[in-house]
Amino acid sequence: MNIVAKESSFISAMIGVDYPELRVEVAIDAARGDIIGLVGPNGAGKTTVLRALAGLRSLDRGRIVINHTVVDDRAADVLVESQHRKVGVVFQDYRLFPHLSALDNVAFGLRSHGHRRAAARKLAAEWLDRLELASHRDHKPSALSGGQAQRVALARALAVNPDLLLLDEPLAAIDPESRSRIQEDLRHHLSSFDGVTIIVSHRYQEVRALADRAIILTAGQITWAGPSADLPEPSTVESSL
Amino acid sequence: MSNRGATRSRTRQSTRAPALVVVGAAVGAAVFIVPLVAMAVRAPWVHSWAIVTEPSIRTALRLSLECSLSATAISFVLGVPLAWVQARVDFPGRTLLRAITTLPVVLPPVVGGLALLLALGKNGIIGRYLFDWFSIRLPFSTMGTIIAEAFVSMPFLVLSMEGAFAGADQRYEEAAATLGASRSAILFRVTLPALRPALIASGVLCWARALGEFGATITFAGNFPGTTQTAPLAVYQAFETDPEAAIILSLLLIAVSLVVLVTLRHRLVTRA
Repeated sequence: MNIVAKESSFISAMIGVDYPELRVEVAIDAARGDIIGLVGPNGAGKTTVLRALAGLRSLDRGRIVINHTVVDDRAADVLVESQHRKVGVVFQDYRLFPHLSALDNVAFGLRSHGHRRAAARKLAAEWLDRLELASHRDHKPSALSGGQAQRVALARALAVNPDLLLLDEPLAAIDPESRSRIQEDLRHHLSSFDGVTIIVSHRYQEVRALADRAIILTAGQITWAGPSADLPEPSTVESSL
Repeated sequence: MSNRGATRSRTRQSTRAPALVVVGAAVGAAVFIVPLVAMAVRAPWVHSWAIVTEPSIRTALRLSLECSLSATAISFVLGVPLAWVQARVDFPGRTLLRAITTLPVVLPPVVGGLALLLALGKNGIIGRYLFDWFSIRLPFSTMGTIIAEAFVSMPFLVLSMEGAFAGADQRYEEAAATLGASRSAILFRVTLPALRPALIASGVLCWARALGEFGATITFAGNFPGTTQTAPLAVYQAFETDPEAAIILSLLLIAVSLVVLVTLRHRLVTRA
């Protein structure tokens, strides 16, 4: 397929990344408030798309525009590094800094954005309150449950006021018993975010519940796109994964 | 019968050394243990306190402590960046640089001392300018002792920190980058805090090596009581004049090294 995207959108990405065994070619357009689910089997290129958007991998072809700022354009030789993009990431394994408390994990990004220590911690505390984590402020990540760690990671990513929020398999590290409750919490918190959210998942059910729109990625290409409610059942090959 | 079978398989699980290996290992261990025992047997234990508190010995011990801690501080300031570059940056000549910065580990320290004299001595390629322009004279000074100790001990810190940087989990550094942290903020607020155990282990190993430094020090800084005569140099001098003091001072140095190695050896060996 041709990679085309409307430049008038809040997020406009034409992502071309070449691996020896996989050619990733994905176009994504989104308006403020959009929640997009990116589904597909392992190895389809979902994480590559996420890393390219986050600035953790540069494009081989294409162009990424976030809120009217070109952050990656191979042809024009433009590359904005991860630290200068307004992108928040909740990693699959959360990657909370193990030596910092929940509060200081959230304050970390705020301090990097120029807030003084006291101001950063005050704002971080407000974020933890909002995500119902006030009583876990001083806990180290090792003392948090999966769901709590996920919310700290979400607070950390949202606190720096990103234009684009990326969630990589947000429920993969959650035990099955708590998954539906945490999914409901997550849906609630995402609904109040006014940037664009992209959720990478290999679980169709998760995307139906969390996203408005869905994109199916197969071997690096978009094979289906539409409202997440219409997301077809995974093919037998995918569901067996 | 079933009990005997279970016992036999359990015996097989734990490693049982062949007899020849046991003999070799025992003699090998004796090579290290016998000299220690000899020292302990011949040590004038009753005079030990008097010897250690003797002014000349106390001066040597104090100087040793000051110089070795200063050398460790220098090694941290210069060696940690060097280790980071050697571990993380791909540049032409990296393999050669790694070899050169490891050289003092295998080089006879006296050769290192000679090289330092030719570089930093009064007529050395850098030393002559230090003297002409700033009247700084490094050889045969306490600063010279510190430099000699840093030269010999820093490679231990660099080696061990390079391994730590190379093996560090870079996923946290990626997460920090997405949160807007600059490269130096990532280093100081994410990478180094996560490597604190390695930093401590490398620092202590470096310090222990600096404390025991002899060859480079005596060549570059000389053996002047009060200025450059550290404990190992005092042992060397006392060996001629006061062998009892030499033994006690030696045992003190051995004790410090043993404590360091018993505490840290497993970490250093498993990391390497």
